[in-house]
Amino acid sequence: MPKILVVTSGKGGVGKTTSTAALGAALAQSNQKVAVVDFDVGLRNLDLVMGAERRVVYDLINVAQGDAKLHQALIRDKRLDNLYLLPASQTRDKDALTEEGVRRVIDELRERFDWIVCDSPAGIERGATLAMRFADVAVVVANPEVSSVRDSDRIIGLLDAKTEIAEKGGRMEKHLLLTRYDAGRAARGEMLNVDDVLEILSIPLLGIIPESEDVLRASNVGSPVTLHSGTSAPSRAYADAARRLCGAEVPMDIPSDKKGLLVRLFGRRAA
Amino acid sequence: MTQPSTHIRFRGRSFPVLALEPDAPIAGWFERLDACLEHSPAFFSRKAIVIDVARLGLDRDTVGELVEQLSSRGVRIMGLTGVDPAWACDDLPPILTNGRSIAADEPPADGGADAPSLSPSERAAFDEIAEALGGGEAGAEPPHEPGRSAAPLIVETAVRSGQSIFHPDGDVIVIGSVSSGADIVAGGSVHVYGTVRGRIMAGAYGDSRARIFCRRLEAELLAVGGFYMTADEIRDDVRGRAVHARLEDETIKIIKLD
Repeated sequence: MPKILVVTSGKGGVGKTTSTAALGAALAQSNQKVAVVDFDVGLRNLDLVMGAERRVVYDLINVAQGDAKLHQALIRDKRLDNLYLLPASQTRDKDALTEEGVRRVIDELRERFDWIVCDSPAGIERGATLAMRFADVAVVVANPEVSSVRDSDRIIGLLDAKTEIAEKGGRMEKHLLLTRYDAGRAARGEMLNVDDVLEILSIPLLGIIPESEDVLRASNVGSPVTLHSGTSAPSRAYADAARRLCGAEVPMDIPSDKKGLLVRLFGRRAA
Repeated sequence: MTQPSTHIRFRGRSFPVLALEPDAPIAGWFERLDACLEHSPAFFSRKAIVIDVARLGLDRDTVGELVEQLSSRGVRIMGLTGVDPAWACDDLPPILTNGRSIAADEPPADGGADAPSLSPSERAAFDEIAEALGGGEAGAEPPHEPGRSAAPLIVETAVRSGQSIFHPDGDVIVIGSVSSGADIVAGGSVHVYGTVRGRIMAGAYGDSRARIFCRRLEAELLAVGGFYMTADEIRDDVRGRAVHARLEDETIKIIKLD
C-alpha cells in the first residue's frame, strides 16, 4: 500500500526541504521505491538539495497540466536507483497548480512508488494546502522556538480540517520532527526543550535532529544528509526517523549537552 | 408514501448590528459623514445599518429625507429605531424598537418588545416560538438567556491555533487543550480538560452566571459575561494551576480547584 507523506510546517526556514530529502533518501536506502515531490512552485530548491538542478527538464506543473508525461519529468537519483525526484517549476506562477492536476499526478505516482514524499511550501496558502490535500501521513517540522511551535500548531489544525482524509471523516496520522535542536541552549533556557514542545503540540515525536554543520555542508554539495555522511548525528537521527515512519520501534535519542559539568561551569564563568 | 413537508422553520434570533446615530444639526453631521466616507469609501459596503434617531426628535418627513440622503450615499439601512412605531409604511425601512427604552410609548396591548410592526398573527407565532425556546414572557426576555438549557458542545480534540469554537446556546466542553491563538466563545460555561493557552469567552451574551473551568491555566484572555481579563492580570499563584473563574461584582475571580 503506497503512502503519501507530506512534510510541512507553518514557518519557513525550519528545514522542510532538508528533511524531505533526508527522509526520502533514508526510505530509499531501506529498499523502498521513493518519489520526492517539490510543491514549492516559484521557489524550487528540493532539486538543489538533491543535487539534480541541472537535470530538470519538465516539472510538476507540466505533468499536472498534461504537457509532459510523468516518466519524462521524474529524475532518477544518481546514487540510489529507487529514489526519484519530481521537481517544482521556478518560472511559473504559484497559482498554476490546481487541485485536479495534483490529484492526477498523485494517483499516477501511487501506482509506481511505495512512498511519495511531498515537500510543502511554508505558510497556509494554497500551495501548502494542496501539498497536504491527498496525504495519508504528515511530518510536521518545527524548531524549538515559540514562533515555529505556534505556526506548527496552526498547520496541525489545517491537517485536521482541510485534507481529503479529514473531510471524509478519517484522521491524518501526524508526527513531529524537531529540527535544529541544540541541547546546550535548551538547557540554558534559550530554546524550548523537547517536553515543552511536545506538551504544546501533543502529537507523537518522530525524531529530534541536532543542530549541526553537517546539514549545511551536505545541502551545499547537493546531497541529502543521510547519503552524504551516514555516521553523523543528524544523519543517524533522520535514518531513525525514517525507520519509525515504517513502523519500527526505535528508542528515541534525545541529544544532550556533551560538554562535561566542569567545562560548563568554568566555561560560563570565563565568559 | 410520505407527503413533502409543508413546514418552514422560524427562529427568533438577535444579531449585533451597527447603529448610526446622527446628531443635530443634520447638515453638519452629513458633512462629517462625507469626510469620513471620502477617507474610507468602503466603510458601509456590505454592512447592514440601523439608524437611531431617538435623540433628534424628528418629524416623519425629515426622517424620510434622512433615509434618502443616506441611501444615496450607499448606506444600506436595515431598520429605523427611535421613531414612533405607528409610522411603519412601505416608504420607510422597517421600524425596530428596543423594548426597554421605548416601552412607555407602546400601546399596552402590544406587549412584545422586539418587533411591534408584526401583525397580531405574526406576533402570536413569535410568542409561541419564544415560549418553546424557554417560556416566560415572550419577547420581553433577552433572546439568549434561555439558551443555557441547550445541549453542550463537546470537542474531543485539541483546539489549535487559529481555530475558533463558537457555541452561542450553551456550554462548551473541550477534551484536550486550547492552543495559544485559538478562541472559544460560548453562551454558557466553558470546561477544558487540558491546558488553556488561548482565549476563552464564557457567557458571551451577557450571562453572568457562566463560569470557566480548566485543568491548567495559561490563558491569553478570560471573559465572563462580557467582562474580561488579560494574561497580564492573571496572578502568578493561579497560573499553571487547575482553576475555575467566575464573575463577582463585575470582576473576574479565579479560584483554585485543588
